[in-house]
Amino acid sequence: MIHRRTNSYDKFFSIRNVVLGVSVATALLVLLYTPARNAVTQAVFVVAPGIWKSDGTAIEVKDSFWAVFRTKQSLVEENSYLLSELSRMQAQVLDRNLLAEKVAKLDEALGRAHGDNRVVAEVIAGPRQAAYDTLIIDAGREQGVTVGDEVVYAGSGLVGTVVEVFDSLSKIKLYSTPEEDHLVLAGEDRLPVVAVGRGMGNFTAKVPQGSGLKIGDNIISLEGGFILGTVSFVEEKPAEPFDRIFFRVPFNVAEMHSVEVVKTKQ
Amino acid sequence: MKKRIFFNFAMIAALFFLPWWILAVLAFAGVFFFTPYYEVLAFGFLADLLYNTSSNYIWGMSSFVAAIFIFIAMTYFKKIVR
Repeated sequence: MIHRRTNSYDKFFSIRNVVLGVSVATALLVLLYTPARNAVTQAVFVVAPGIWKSDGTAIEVKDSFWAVFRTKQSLVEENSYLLSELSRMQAQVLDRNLLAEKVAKLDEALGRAHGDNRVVAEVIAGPRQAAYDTLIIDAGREQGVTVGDEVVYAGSGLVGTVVEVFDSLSKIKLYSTPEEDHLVLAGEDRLPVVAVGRGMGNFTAKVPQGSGLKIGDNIISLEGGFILGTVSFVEEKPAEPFDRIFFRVPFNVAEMHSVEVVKTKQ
Repeated sequence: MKKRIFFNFAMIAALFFLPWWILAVLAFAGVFFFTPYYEVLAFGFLADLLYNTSSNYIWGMSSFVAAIFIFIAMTYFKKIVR
């Protein structure tokens, strides 16, 4: 009787491994080839909103049950909500200061009409779920959102830009995405600097020594005059020609519940 | 089999509602306790489609690459410890 020996070659090329290899190769192809990726993402985003919204329903059911036993837990939640509201209000105060400046400038340049068309959208998934600085919002093609539209929070806190649009959803890439560069204006003198994202609403930038930038100075976007952040730390190294500033958005990006999409196409 | 189905539901819940690092911990646990846990690759693929963009690191497929790494690394780790 002749027995065939299974060697390592046969084992490696077993049907199971071949199927696995083909599946992995197909997945890589889909992720790399943009039209295929968009098509599959569209299909996924048909089902995904239902799942995300079920979370809200589940929370409502849970809340109505536990409302009977309101204890410390409810106070903690209320505190968390109030903190997020405070963060939003702080951003709005900055917004008001900026608006005052804007009005003064507009008075100087009479006749310059300004106004943008905005869509308010709810954040259904954000950096809390994802390891990337992305947001999923419930406004899409049907609401007139297009790729490249800017997204702001609390009126003028610049958050990111629309990178993918679906029928009723959009994907936002935050400006603070690690290693992403953006030209911005820093401080009262509007010093142009390149802000580099560090994730979760944090940025860093190199400024010339003696630039006069200090903690609390605003960082403004080049177009639209939106607030990108406030300086939280200035690292000075006398041996180097540049100082390094660290700044962050004046709110918690993980606590954003609604944002506004500034439509570029009216 | 029931355990595996239940675990997959936990993975789906983590993917949609929980912080990403919980999904990562579950992925490691899944590959360690179920043999072979191919689903981890599907979850990596889905995570990229849902949250990643093609302009990000590694052409926007870092979750899938991480899933492949977890699958291979944990498979070898299991061989060593068992």
